[in-house]
Amino acid sequence: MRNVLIVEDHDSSRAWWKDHLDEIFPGVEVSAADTIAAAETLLARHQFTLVILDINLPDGSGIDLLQQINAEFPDTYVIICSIYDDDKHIFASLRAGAKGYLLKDQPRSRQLDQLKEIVHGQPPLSPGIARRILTYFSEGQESLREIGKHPVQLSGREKEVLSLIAKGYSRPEVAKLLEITLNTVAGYTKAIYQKLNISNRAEAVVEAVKLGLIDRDIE
Amino acid sequence: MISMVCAGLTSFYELFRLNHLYLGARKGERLLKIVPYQILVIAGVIALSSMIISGSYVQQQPWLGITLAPAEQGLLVEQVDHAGPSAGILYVGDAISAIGPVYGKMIAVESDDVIDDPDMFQNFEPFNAFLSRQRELFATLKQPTIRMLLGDGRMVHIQPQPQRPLLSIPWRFWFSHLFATTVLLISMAIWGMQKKMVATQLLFISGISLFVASVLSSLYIARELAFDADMFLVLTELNSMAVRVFCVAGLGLLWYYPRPLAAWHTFLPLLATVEVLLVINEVVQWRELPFHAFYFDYLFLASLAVFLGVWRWQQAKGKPIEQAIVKWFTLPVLLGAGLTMLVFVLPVFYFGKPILSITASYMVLLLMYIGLALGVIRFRLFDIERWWIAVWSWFLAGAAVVTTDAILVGVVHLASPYALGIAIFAIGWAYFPLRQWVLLKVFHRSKGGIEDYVPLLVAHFIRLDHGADPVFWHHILQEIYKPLSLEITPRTIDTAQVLDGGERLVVPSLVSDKQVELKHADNGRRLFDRDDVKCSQMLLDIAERTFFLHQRYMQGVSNERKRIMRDLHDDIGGRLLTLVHAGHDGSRTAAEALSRLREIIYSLDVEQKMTLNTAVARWRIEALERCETAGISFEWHWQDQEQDVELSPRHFLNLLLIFREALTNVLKHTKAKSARFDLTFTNEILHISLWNNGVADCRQEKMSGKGLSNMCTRTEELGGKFGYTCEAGEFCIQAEIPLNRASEDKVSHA
Repeated sequence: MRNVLIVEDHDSSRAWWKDHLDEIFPGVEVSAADTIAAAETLLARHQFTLVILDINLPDGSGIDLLQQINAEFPDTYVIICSIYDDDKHIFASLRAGAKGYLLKDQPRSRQLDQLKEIVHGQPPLSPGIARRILTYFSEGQESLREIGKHPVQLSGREKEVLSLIAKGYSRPEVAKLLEITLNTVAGYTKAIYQKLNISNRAEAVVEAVKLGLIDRDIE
Repeated sequence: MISMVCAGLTSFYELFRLNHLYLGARKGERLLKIVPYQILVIAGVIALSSMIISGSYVQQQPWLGITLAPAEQGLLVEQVDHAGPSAGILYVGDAISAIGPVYGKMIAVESDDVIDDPDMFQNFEPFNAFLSRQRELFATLKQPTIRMLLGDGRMVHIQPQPQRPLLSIPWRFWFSHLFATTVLLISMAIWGMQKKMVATQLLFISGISLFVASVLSSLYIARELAFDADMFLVLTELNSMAVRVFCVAGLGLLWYYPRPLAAWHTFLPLLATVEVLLVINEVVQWRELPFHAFYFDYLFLASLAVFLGVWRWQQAKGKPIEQAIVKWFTLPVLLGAGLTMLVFVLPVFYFGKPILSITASYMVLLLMYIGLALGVIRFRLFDIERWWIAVWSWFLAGAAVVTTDAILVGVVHLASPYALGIAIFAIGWAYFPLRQWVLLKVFHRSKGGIEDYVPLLVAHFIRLDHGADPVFWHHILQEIYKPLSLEITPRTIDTAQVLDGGERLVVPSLVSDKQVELKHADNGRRLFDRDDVKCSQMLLDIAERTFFLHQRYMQGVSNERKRIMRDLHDDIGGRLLTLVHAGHDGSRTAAEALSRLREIIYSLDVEQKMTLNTAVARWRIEALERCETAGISFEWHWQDQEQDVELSPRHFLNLLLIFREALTNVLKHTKAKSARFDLTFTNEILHISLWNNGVADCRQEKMSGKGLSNMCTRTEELGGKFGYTCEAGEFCIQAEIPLNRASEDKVSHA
């Protein structure tokens, strides 16, 4: 990680990230923005490898900015850092393409540990989110079905991993039960994140076509 | 007389007023609406004039002042009028053998001489003999003095009065007129409302002909002994014709209503032609018919009616409207016709005289007409709607006042002004309550007015929850109309409508592009009518307003809740966060406060849906992590529910806090080596048992007072039980919490 952008309206939090990111990513360049507008300006000028993004910003929702970054800079790694810990916000962030989700009220040291885990390919997944994802892939994706498109499917193994996590099993327990390594479990989790985002983008396109916002040819 | 005119005017005024009200309701049909009232009045006038004319004709007949009955030989005196010319000469029980002028030939009387109608004779010969005897007897009765030979050999002289008094006219005469009037009014009223329909035209013809038949026969059935033979012949032939017109029209009704049984349009003309030929044969006495010269064709007509009725019944299968018609139209018609056959025509065939007299047969036919009128009210036969009854009830009110007044003046000889007053009071107090009662009984509406449904509406509104589902309107319609089917169809209508002659009622839905279609009201027992349209429209207006008001209210509540949640998060949450990360002593408390704040915010968010399976999974990962941190082995028993239970945010939060507190309590035993978590959900009760084996001495074991009371309070708040045990070094916390819908409601209302 060389270039990191912090989008956060709390001065103390912003300052803290600036001071401590160096501990896990030595030699990192940290930029900071306190509004979406400021973030957009910075994004237009520089290339960032990681964006740590708050949801509640003075001039809008971080999730909208997340979608924008995902569309314009697909290689940029976005992690949401929020005070919201409910499934609704987390699920919406994951669908919009977040690679991970940090809770602001965790001890700072734990936040840094988790960030490191996420960046090194260990994305977190809570039981509630796992359940939501399972339901979404079995029932959701309505707009794709409506136009006769095949909805995005989860593989058998991905479903198994999700089911166990949904029942409250920890990642090491899942690895043990399925006789796979922890890294493989993380791999599945990443794939699930990806599929969620792919499906979300496909649905967004379908909706846009239906609303006449974009041309069918582009689809 | 003046008072009668006043009473008449009052009732006309009422008619006019009512008429005006209806006109106000539907201006476009102004002309059509005036006419039915006029027709009813015209019918009333015709009936009254016929009664007056017939009455005066009967009064012109010579009078002996006796009532005669057929005896084995000759006639028997049944009654003697005390004021009549026979008083003191003839006595009840005397038999009369012959009658004649003082000077001249005696005419032997026969038991048949008091027969109701000469067409009851089986062939032409006795018919003609009867008429010639009537001629002679009538001529005799016109003499100033007559001789009478009695059964015991006595010969008496009587001076017949040239005119009979009004009160001596037998009740059968009045009854015939009452019957004639009722039939005329019913048939003309129905026709008046729907003049262009073949069915109502046929009903009209049948009513008129029955009216004519009974008015004509009233003249000769009122005779004492003899009647002008030429007049008798004309009247009896006309009566016979009128009865046949009635029969043909009635069969036509069975054939054409509600739609022709078959596409055979020559049915009615053919039938009419046959009957015309039969009547001509009767008049010219050309050929004797088999069985009975006069009634032969009635057998055929009755069989035809039964055949058409059965055919109609067959056709009506699976069609509720036609079944209603069979029930309220075909059956009364068949029943009336059938009974008349049984008590009148068939006995005449076999015994030469009917079981019941003509007047009693009228009674049967009258019942048939009343059945028809009820059918009109209840099932909108001939598509006439219920306001028909309003016309009737006002007409009858006026008629009742006029009649009562006439009786008081004419019979009781009361002075006119008093008579009118008494008549109006009597009718006011007797007729109107009676009318209300009859209306209530006749309509027998399980449905009531809008006021009856208000409690139902309110109950539904109260049940409207956060979702504000427009389906509640469909439930209301379902409960009120109890239709055989209720469908939501994609069509926009502005107002409620009755379709297919009452088979369907369509009502706008609360969802803009949909309508609710109800089929067959009251489980198919009745048809929808205009009242239903009015009532459902009013209910819809209330439901719509309430629904949108409720929606706006809920939207407002939701917006406000979101604003509070956002403020809590952004403002208080942000400040607490600063404290959490400040690193001093208060950090831990701040973190707890933030966590609690979040839980409170969560419990405010009604859009969040959490289920038992998810909640338990959350507890598991939390318990696992904490056990791992504490270095305690972890054992978890729980089976995911196939039918997951949805938890309200409040339930979810309370359960989480109970579990978390219990977990803390179990894990505080530092010597514990293992922890076991048993969770089951049976009979809608969640059982939570948390065990650990780290207790050295149970007697010294005490739970922290605050933790215990917290858990206890929360469990009781959810309507559950809480307890702990300590045995043989094992410490166990147990909680039982009901999770059924009822307990959730109880908690949320608490």
